[in-house]
Amino acid sequence: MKFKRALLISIIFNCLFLSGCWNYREIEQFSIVSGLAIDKSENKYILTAEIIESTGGRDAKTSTKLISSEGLTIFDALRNMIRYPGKKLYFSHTKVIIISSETAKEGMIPVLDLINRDIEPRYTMKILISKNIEAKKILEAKSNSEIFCYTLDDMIDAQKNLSAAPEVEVWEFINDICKEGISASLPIVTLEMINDKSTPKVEGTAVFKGDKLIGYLNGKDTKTFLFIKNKIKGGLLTKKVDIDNNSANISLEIFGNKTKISPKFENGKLLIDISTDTDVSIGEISGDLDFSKEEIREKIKSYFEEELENQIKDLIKKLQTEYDSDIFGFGSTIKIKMPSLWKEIEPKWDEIFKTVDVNVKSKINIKNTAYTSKPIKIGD
Amino acid sequence: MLKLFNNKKINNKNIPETLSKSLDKNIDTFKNIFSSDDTVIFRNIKNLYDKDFKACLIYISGMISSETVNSNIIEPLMNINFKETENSLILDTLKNKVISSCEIYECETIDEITVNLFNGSTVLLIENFEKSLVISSNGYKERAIIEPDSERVIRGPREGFTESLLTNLSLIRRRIKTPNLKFKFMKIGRITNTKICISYIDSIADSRIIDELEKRLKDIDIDGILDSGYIQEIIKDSPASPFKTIGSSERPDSIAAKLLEGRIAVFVDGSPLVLTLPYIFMEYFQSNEDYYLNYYYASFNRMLRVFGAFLSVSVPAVYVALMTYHQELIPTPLLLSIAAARQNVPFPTIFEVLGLLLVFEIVRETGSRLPATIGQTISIVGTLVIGQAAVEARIISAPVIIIVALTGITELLIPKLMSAMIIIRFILLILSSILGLYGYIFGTIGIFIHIFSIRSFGVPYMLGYGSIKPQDIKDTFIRAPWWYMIYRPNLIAKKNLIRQSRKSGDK
Repeated sequence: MKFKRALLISIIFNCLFLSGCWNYREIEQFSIVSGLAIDKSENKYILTAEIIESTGGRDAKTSTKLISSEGLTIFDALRNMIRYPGKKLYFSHTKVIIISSETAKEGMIPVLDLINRDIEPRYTMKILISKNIEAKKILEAKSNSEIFCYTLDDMIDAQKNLSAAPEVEVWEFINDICKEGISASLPIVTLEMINDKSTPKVEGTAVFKGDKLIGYLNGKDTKTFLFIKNKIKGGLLTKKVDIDNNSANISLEIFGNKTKISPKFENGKLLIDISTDTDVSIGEISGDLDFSKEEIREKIKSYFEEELENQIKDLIKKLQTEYDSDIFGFGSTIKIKMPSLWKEIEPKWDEIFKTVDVNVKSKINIKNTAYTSKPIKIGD
Repeated sequence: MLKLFNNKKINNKNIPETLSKSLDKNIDTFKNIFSSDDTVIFRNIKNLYDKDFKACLIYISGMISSETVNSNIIEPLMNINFKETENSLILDTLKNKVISSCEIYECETIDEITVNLFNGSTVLLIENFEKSLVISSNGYKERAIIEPDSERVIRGPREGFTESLLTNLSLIRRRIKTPNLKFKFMKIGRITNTKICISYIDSIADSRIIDELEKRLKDIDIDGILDSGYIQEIIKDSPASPFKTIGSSERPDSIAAKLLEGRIAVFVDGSPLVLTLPYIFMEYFQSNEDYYLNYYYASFNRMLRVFGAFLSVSVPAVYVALMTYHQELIPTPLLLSIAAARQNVPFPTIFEVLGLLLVFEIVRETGSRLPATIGQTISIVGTLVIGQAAVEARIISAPVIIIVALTGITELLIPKLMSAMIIIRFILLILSSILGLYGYIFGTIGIFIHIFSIRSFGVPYMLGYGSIKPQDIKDTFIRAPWWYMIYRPNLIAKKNLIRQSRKSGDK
């Protein structure tokens, strides 16, 4: 009995204390990667990582460094990268992945497989497509000592108030690729020269078909696209309005929006009803319009409603004819709302999408007029 | 010598068990017992009127009040006229008519006389009597009743127990004026013969717990009891557990409150700490002040103490687990600043934390025993040398200092729980350095299994934790207002649960 107990204790002791610390690592033993850029040339992946370096002591400072390596696969390239900082790279705090449009055109699955498989990278990382430029160049545009990729991450967050680019996280993108009846879309990053300095700019949408990049939407179309996807969080609606021979440029600030997509099957024809319901406030009227009168407000509303309806119709037409890619997810909406119909049309959805009729109804509610109740008028 | 009083014999030098008729012989007997003890005084007394009257007073100098002995015993003895008294009634007359003392009785066994001498009584031996008179005359110096340093309060009574058993009992008696309050004396300690008093309120306390306590106390066979801590450790349940299953307090008001809840108090002569039992886990977090202050404030303080205990035990372990296993759980800016602070620090995180915690405990232990005058030196050494210099020399990273400081402060929030917290903290720390957060969670589960499984005198240690009834949790994490404390704690005061009755219509 005593022997057995001693044996048991020694086994437990050995398991706990002699097995080593399988996952033990000190914080300074690895390099934190803040962001990753992926390019492809001649069948080899070129990876560029921004790693954070910190100097200790009283006035601790963090700086960043770019390192590059290439490999046959992403993993291969990543492992090759260890040579340069002499430390293992750590991806749990990576926030941004930039993929060049050239790489994306050849397919995203080989790029994303490792990210999907490995435990370190988070599914909440944001993906960006660098349009017509090497992804590496975007990281190189960093100007000061800030951690560039975290700044980029903040920039994407700030897009909410502009609605010029969608915000897509890795899990969302992978989901969209896998799901039936929806095509994936990603935000675009480009470089712009400001004061002789190239500065990154996040605007526009990259349109995918399957896992391959097939086209782009500009910033304005992106806003319309986000309207259809019910992902508008903010932004402005601006338009020149003519009412009773008074013309004015009006900006409406979007506070909230609700878009409903409801497919209908009537007389053997598929019809998709899109209705948007937007809460706005009058943000600015650069002209002489008395918005305190209800009929003028009604007119303003109808102008904008019409414009939004047209924009939505145009964008859908564009996708149907030019790209033939259902990034709005009409198919998956049908699948949810009319599953039996979806079973029938699923094999030929690509064909049907091109010709599907869309009915758009927009509604704009002016909730307030901000701080003023009267326009500024020149006195007599 | 060890079995001195157990064998009912003073020693083996042929000493009789009872007194004899001859005064000289009796005096010799005691001189024999107290050989080479010059504190024992033998005072021979003769009478002014009766030449045949011979008597001897025995007492221990320093233990008696000489004023009492002079005026209440010696003076009447010398001046009394025995002419009209029969010889055989002399003892009776002395006892009932002459000596003015509130406590006096006849005694013939030498053992008992000896023990009474040690308690400060004066013994009167008279020629031709086989009995002696034991006269209470104790008058040794006592410490004054002052506020105990270990349990200070902002609001509440300022009295604290002293080292004298009878004074302590009087402090309780003054608060609970009912014949139902019982005091039972016992003696423990073969050599020290320490007086012990079990106290309870008869109508509330559970008689089975009293019986069990008496049984355990009777089983103690030890040479001496110098503090209630001896008894606490000898009779407690789960003796190997770091948690207390018998409580202690220096404040009469909190002991009185525990008696009112049906608990039993054990007073030990010579110790200002009075034991209470059964003791449940929640009592660690209860302070007597909670019951005197506004109940919102008291509840907040109590939750603060629970949270503090949790922090003190967990913070170092969680820090080490996050830093060495789960870096992905740390918010990015925090990770960056800690990574910067850890640059060029030579030791692994676990040794940093372990080492600094040990240093903190050393500073605490040094400070608690030092004379107040050099106490300041410790704080200078602690803050300057360890805090600042070690960080600047990059021997220790700054976040670890913060972690250890937080641990230290929260540890001092509940001084009673400190001993248990120190042990658990180190266990959790080592576990989480081996297995990460899993280790911490396993350790915590183990501790919870332990505290939920132990009992104190038959009462579950975690009484009230598993319940969601308002009356069961009224005095746990919160302190319910007094008008809501209708019942006494369940299971402790089973016999008599109603604490207050509410007027009808006042619900």
